[in-house]
Amino acid sequence: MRSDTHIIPDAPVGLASDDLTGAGLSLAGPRDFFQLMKPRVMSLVVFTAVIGLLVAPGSLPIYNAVMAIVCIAVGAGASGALNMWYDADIDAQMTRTKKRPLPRGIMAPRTALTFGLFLSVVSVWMLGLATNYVAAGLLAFTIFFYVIIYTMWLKRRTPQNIVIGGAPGALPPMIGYASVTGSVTIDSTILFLIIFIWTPPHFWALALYKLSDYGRVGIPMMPNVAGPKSTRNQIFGYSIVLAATCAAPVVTGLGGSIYAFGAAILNAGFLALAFKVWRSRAGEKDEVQPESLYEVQKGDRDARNLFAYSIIYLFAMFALIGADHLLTGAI
Amino acid sequence: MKEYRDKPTKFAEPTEAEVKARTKRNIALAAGLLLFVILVFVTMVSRGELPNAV
Repeated sequence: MRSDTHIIPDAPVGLASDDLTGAGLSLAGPRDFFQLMKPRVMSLVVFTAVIGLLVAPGSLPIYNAVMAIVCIAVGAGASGALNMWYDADIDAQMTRTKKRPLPRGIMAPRTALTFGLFLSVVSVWMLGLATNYVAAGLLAFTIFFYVIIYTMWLKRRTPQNIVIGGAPGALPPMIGYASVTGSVTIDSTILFLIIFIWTPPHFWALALYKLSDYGRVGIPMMPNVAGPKSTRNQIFGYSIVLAATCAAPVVTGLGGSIYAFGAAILNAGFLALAFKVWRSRAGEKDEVQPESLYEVQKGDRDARNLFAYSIIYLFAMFALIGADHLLTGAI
Repeated sequence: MKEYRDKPTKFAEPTEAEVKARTKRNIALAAGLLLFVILVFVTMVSRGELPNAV
């Protein structure tokens, strides 16, 4: 008998198969586990956490700083894995998510759950060890909020899901900041608020042109519940609040002249695109929509443009804060 | 007293793809655990908490 031959018990175990073609082992490789961690989201998390760590007053030894970033990234990845475990049913029905490892059927849900829980514990514990327990507590809170409050509670119940659920996505720079200072300050709260207020217009722009995708699986996104017009109004409203929030770093000294100049241009662009969405008919059609995130019907182009710009915008805003700090020592 | 046990009569062989995927997972798991042990050790040392043996 070969060493990798598996005994089929009489009991109806999932792996048993009468035709003996394969043992029912998982086909998931390391790449699939990496995909489980939502690498695209993780890149934004890492970037904003690095900026938080960079602009915080004080310093951290390079090894501990790197460990802090790794732990924050892994913690975010753990949240992603737990999210995919819980949402496997709806992911299978949405064009944007149906190619994830669980809907593809190459990984057992229990594997994703174990993977997510293990990484959650490891990342929080290691962050506490490498930096301090305020940062570790914030990371634990982030994972808890994303998995329990957002994924399990709000996402399927209220159109305000991504407004409140945006908090965990906004916490990484605050965790990076706390890794250095061991505290939560006004400046780290401003970094949090920029991402927190940016989240609704970012996601609702996507939801406007991916309306049927969310509607099909019963997720109460704002365009499905309040309608496209109300969503466009709210996108524009949040964009104005976002622009005002972006002025706060100049007031507190977190951002200097470089930031002020760059943020003014970036927010002018954001407001212009949000205004175009407000005036458009984005989200009004309910036809079969293209699979790609960036291929849209004519009426939805303004929403697609705002969504694409909002990604660049956030990276650029945080890059400005970091650049300003490095070049002028704003704090 | 003789213990009762079912004697397995059917066996399933994993496919080539399944074995390949499992091998990759095992290597990744081993590498991940090794990295974890190293990181914990270095982190402890960086905090000045040297193990007794060092």
